[in-house]
Amino acid sequence: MTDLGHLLAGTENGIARVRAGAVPAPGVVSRTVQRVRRRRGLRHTRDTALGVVLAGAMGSAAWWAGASPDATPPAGTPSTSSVPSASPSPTPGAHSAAAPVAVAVPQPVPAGVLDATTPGWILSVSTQVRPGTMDVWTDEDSRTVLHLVSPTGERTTLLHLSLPWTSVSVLDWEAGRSQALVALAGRDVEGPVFGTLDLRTGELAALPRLDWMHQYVGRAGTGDTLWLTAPAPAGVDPERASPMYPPPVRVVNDEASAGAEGDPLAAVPYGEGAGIRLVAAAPDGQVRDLGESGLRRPTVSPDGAWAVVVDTAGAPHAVDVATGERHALTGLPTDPGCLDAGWSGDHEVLVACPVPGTTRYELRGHDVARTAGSGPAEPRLVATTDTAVRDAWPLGDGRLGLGLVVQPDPCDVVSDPAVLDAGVVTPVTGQWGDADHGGTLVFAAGAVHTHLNGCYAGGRSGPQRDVRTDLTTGAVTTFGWLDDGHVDDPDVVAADGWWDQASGSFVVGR
Amino acid sequence: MTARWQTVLEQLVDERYPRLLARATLVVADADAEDLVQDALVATFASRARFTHVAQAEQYVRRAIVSRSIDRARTAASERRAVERTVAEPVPVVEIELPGLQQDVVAALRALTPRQRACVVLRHVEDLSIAETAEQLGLSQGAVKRYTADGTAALQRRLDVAPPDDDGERLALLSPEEAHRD
Repeated sequence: MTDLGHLLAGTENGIARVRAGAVPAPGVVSRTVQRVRRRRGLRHTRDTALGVVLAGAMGSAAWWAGASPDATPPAGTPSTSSVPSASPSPTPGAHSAAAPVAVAVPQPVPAGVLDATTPGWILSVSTQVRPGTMDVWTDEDSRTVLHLVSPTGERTTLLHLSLPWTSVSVLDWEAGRSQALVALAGRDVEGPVFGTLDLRTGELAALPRLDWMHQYVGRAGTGDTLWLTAPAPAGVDPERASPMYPPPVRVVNDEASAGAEGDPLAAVPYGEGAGIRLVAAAPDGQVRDLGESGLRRPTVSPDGAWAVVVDTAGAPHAVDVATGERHALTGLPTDPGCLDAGWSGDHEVLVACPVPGTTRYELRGHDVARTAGSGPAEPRLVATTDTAVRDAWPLGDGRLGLGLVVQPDPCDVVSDPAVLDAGVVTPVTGQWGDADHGGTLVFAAGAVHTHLNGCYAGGRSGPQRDVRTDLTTGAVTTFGWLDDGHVDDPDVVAADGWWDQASGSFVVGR
Repeated sequence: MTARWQTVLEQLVDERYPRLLARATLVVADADAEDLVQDALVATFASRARFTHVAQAEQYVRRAIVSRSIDRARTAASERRAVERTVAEPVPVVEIELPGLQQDVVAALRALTPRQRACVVLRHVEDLSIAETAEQLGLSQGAVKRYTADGTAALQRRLDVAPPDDDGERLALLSPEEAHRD
């Protein structure tokens, strides 16, 4: 440490000695905890809607970590299968929706607004709170709201959620349709409850639970919805255990601590071999078992025809969603430094591997359809980048959207957007603030959508907000705010009927 | 049972609040120090970062205090909290009394710009490298060198402290945006 450093450090220690015994003013710590809890809760709601919560979307580990190049399938299991898994469906009967029930109050909306939406329109969820109620928060002081947001940021309120329902995550929505697939949670309600929400009437047609644990994975090109399901592990009372978090952590509610606030009370390692299955549910309610899955969340190809699943041995497979056929992806690299970078084509998985002796990464595309048809194909060199890459997605015009991992751990799970065109990587963050960083990236309708600054690794950080960034012009449209500093607009005086608002989750209409 | 993050936060405040206040006092006025500590706590614990022990969390929060001091405008939220605190707890602001030299150091730091102050504290107290400081503050490395050199030169003039060798190199010009932000 320099002389100046010693002097400054000594001064700092002197101040600390003078301040010895100092404590925050009464109520400050509890308010700080509430602010943190609120932000963490809203982030969890947002992450759930974006599918980030499931294992495999968090962390930078290779998705096939653990599989060795010489790994052979267990005896009796062919490396490719021409028949669907013979395992029985986890839940007998159809996955048909129940009769609709009211869960939200519809708001006045101009006629035809939903019908006129096109890909790129957004369904956004926010929490509204009466000003001045931070310390005492009653049911009447907060509400959950579902908005329709145009690509230019105009907001139309569609629904106010009704008690006991307190949170909603939109999982999938097709622009122009008046119904969306959602997950609802509420106070004293066993959830989440999945179902189809009518955006005009606020009625939910609930879908039956496929098993003790079931999590939404995505929508296939066949129109089927894909789910991960699992029974309650042996020795665990399903009535007292809640699969609220993804494996490997499972939450158990402890009756002795009933009434305590905050996060769930105990964590039990879930472990491999927990009987997790990938399941396809058709619009007519029929359910098909697509085989086992490990702890890592499957991903669905841009053309909706393939689901890539990592089994309990850590080996990746491509599953033909229409037929259930499963094909081992034996051509993927097993270097533990390689990363699942997303998709570089309609059915081409992108893998980012470090270049030995450098800090650069090679991006190589692996065509899962070709692998399924004729065996492992030579991977395609897509590009070489200065950073690791996440959330890659084809833009439909020959270009590729990428997420550049520019922040250190623990924020190496999020990225800043760029476009790869003819071998050249160009960031699209030119009109972002210098302290802005992206979150999970959603490329759609000529733009990239993300929640800024949701991960904080130290240093300066811009306000948390939801933005749409045009991939051609770089123009930024903000369509939601989380940061208290913005919500508390100094020029606005709260009056009767006023609500402070903070953005939660959003889904871009496909 | 309380969530792990809440336990760490409460333990950090209980055991190390004076140290957090001291760090904040280095970079902002006394009246703003408590607010800055709270903001840094919220930013750090609301993030995805997971802390296994208090010392690790303290390091994050102390650096967050410095980086947030740059953007420390009197936002409506901070203004309202300050007003609320005054109304609810009408305790007069107490200026801390330090030995002569330390009081001079605090006064000398107050005379720096926010960026100069942040760069000096991270480079000389946290012992971060130029690259690490640049990343922490969202500045270019050239800007960090410039702010650090200007800040240490100013402190040297006031406090008669020998300049560190590694900040004596010639510096790249700041971009117009960086030059005008202070």
